[in-house]
Amino acid sequence: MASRTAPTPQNPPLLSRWRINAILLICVVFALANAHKLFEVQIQRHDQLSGLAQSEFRQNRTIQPARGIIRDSTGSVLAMNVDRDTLGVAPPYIDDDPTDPNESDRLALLLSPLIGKAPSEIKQLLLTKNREYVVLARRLTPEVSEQIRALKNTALTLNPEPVRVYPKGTFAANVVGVANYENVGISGVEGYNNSLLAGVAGSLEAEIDSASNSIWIEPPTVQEPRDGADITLTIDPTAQHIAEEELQNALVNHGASGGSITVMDSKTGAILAMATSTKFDPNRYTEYQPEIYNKNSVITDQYEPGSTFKPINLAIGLQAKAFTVNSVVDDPGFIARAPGCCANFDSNGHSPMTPENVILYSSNVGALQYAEMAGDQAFYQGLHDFGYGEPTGIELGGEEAGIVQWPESTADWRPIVLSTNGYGQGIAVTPLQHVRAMSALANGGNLMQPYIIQEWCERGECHKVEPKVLRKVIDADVAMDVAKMMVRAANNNYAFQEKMWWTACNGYYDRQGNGGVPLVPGYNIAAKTGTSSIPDGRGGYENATIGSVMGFGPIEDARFTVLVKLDRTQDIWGTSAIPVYAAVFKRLLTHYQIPPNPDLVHECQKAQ
Amino acid sequence: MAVQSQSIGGLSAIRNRSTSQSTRQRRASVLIALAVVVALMCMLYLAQTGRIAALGFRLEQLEVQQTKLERENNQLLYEIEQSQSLEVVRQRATALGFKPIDASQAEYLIIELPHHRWTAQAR
Repeated sequence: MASRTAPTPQNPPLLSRWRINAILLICVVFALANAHKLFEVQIQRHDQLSGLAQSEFRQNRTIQPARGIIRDSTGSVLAMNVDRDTLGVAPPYIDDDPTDPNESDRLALLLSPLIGKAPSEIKQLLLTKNREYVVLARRLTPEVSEQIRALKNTALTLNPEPVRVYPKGTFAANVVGVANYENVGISGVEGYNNSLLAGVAGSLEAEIDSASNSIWIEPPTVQEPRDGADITLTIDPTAQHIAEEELQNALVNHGASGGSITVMDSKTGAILAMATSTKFDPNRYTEYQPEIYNKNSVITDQYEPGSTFKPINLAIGLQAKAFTVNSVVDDPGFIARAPGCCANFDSNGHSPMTPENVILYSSNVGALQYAEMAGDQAFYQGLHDFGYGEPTGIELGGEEAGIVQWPESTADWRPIVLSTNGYGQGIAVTPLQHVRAMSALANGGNLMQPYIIQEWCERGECHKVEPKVLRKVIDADVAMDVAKMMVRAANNNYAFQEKMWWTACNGYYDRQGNGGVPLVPGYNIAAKTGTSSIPDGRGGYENATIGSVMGFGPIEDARFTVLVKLDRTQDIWGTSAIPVYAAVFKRLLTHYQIPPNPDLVHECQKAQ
Repeated sequence: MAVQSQSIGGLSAIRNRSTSQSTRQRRASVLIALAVVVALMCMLYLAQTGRIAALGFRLEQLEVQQTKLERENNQLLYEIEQSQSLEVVRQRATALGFKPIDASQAEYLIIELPHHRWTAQAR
């Protein structure tokens, strides 16, 4: 039996203990390092890193609200939004094509006529290699955008952005105002009502792909924007057109340096037209000086109203019962109140001077005495009641308050101030203040809140602005008495040194005739002229004057209060404003289809 | 006897082995079924996700198209409003030979009604 011998076990390859320990140690170190890194990444920096990761594939976009549209009273759009492209370029991608080494030169020459910049200027921008993106031009017209798109240059990008546009251009621009390139209103209705028009931005949070398109695996979180309110103005486009056209004609024909025509609804205080000589195109507002597009002279200009103030003076005195329509004062043409003060404009006397004759002859001496008869307390209370010396509160920015030397708050107030205030000097008003006060005479004595926003609609809900009576200023019979005085003044053309101020009929003069010649055939239109001195800023007055006419009509049921104001006219005594005033009224009455009274047409007018 | 008892013990072992084999088979079947269900659910999820993504992309495209159409609409509205400007209308009317109406050309027909007074303007 063969003996079995156990196989001799082979010795395993020897690995020294220290090597094993070293490998183990390295493994442990690695494991610990990994654990530490994991702890740091997963726990310590979790929020930061997960935020970074989220930002790679999630995007939070702001959704801009649409700015509200501005319309006139007929619904025609005056201000709206369109998208216009901004042309940008990525300079690193210019001139990187070896087959087209002169790309920047070629592109600069191609773009120059399209964006209106010099080729050298464009080339300089194209070669700004240290910037990833450079804006070449903004607010491109759709035609220009198409031409640029047709270039098919990958370095050029066209990004649409909302732009405020004004389809009617200069029409009513002083009222509508301007929104700047950031869509922030800076003047007019745009500026004053910016928060209402601007709306509130929304947001969209969604996962996006590499091209920034939303991936809809997870529904995006959307907070809808709140669009701005649409505003409808009280401006009647036809009335505004009439006012602008007549003002433009007057500026040319009478050499005036400026002026304004304001038309107010006598009963409600709604502004129907507000034309000023400072015309500008809000689509290109940057091409004008800020004082042009920031200014609406109907609310920002303060001037001495002159004789147009006399009807207000008489209404205050009559309401205070300081005198009656039959009262009489002496008018020798001059009355001594201070050195060099005070005389009629023609130095002629017209005694006996009734309140009616004060307006007919535009007597300073008469107006002064009637103001004194009212007394400073009643007179200044009346001024306050008529709304002088404070802003009217119309929804337009930059309104001035006017200047009234109140006896209680003016340190060096003297009685001469009251005397001169009686005929419209020593007091400053804005055209809007003055028109509002005159409307109180037109509508039976109610001082109305002027307003230019008729309605505003937001999220399908419309809010109509209702006319607001601020206070009863005078009685209806007092208002009608003054209105009749003004009609007589308008229809009886007072002659200065036997020269006519104006004629309703060419070559016809009926000073003391049977009711005169209606200023506007067929209607009783009240009017009062005024001539105002212009302060020169050095305590004196300029050589030039402001000619104005203000009134309302038809007085039986007054619809319109109109103020025509022409600055530094070449004519004297406000005569240039009268034909403008009459023309505005004629066109307004025709437009509003107010039938004439055949009895109020003079024979000479029938022949015309 | 010993043989018999060995024989009985062998059968029992065979039966036991057979039982555990069928149990394993059932388990395997359940596992396979589970895997199939999970796979189907994954496929369903993927299909749904893909469908949602595709619909989302389509929606995105429609939104882009809507935005584009709104832009065009606004541009057209702008051009319409420009052409409706009173100054433009006046120029066109003048070019066509129309003249502005004069107040003296207006004729009024006043109709007195019991409660209303209607005024019509002619010419």
